[in-house]
Amino acid sequence: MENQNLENIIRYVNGEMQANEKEVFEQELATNINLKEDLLLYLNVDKTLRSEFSNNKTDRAFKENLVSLNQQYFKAEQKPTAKIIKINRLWYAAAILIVGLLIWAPWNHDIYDKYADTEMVSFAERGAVNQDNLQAATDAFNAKDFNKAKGLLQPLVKENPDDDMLKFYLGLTQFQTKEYEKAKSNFTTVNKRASIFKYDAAFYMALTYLKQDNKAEAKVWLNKIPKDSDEHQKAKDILDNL
Amino acid sequence: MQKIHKDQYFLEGLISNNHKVVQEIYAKFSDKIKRHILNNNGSVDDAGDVFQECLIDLYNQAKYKDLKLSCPFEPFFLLMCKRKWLNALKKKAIIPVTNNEEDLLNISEDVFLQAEELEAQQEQSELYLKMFQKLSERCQEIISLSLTDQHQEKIAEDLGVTYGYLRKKKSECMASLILMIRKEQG
Repeated sequence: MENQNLENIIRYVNGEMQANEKEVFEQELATNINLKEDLLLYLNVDKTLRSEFSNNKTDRAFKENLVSLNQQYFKAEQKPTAKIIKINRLWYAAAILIVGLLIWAPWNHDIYDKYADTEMVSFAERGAVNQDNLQAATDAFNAKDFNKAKGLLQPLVKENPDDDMLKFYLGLTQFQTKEYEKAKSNFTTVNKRASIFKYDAAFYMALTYLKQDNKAEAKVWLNKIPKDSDEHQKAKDILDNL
Repeated sequence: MQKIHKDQYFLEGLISNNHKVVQEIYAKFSDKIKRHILNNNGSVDDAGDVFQECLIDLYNQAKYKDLKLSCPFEPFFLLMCKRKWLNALKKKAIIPVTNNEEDLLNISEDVFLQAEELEAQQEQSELYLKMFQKLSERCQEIISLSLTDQHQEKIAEDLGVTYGYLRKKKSECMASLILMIRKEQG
């Protein structure tokens, strides 16, 4: 590659050429295969370096997300060392009692309350949605100011009626502020669609019924959650407790 | 132009850091990769590293180089991870990887092609970065800083040079880099 060519390529890519100069360059590009190859090489190198160094906010957020998921999914399993202990009958009986208490766990009757707590993860770069308002809603939600989050989400849902994420989180704010019927209506809509929030919505539908002391309906919704979905374990925990 | 596979949503989800989609990838595939690597001289940590590196490769290719998926995601991603592990073993000079002829038989041509294409791209990127390391430190600093989101004027100020000088120097540095790559590629 001649230096002159390279300099022109860089000026062309950077938009530093005059109009007439650019025209000449583009004409040459159409006929000179070597020049074209050099231009493609330059662009490819530039993109590679960009992916390596741009390290912008979204790239960093993505990598942080991976780090935390890695910790969750690639934990080395700690094998408990098996010990054989000789115990006499009295201890044996006591041990059984303790195990029984742990299973029965009367102090743990609000197991589903612990699941009612969730973080709002808003998605960056979702086309039509107003980003500032979405961010404000997310911040309010995660600061547990559900009334404020609800107020911010309502107009967003109105503007984007097909956005399941917004509808799902609006439902959660209604659930948290005890507007159970409205929450259920939003969860039902989301659950009916082929949405990635489909089973989250089913899960929170069940929690809403539990808040209303309707265990039968709650069970119906928990049983709708299939084994391979993320919510299955939580649903099973609650079903076992009911 | 090849048809884009409906599983392209996995790549879109990675680019937009869509938590649900990224988690779906972990939930569906992490166990498979863990099992493969544990059965082939690796640890759980190795499996985690390979998995994470493959996702970052995909993210970069999709975001910066416009990779489009023309085959189903699952076999493609699993093949990518397995190859990455195979290469890591080769580097450590451990003889590999128990054959998965059975799995391989089930992988269709388009998956292989796309995995190979991606691997070629990765190798190319590695070469570019290796050459980049051979630039002078000043050149490396100037190029890497100018590719961040910061304002170029601000970068010039931080480096203690004028904006015009920064632009000129960056072009020179890029030119040396491209010449080195050309030479290396023969």
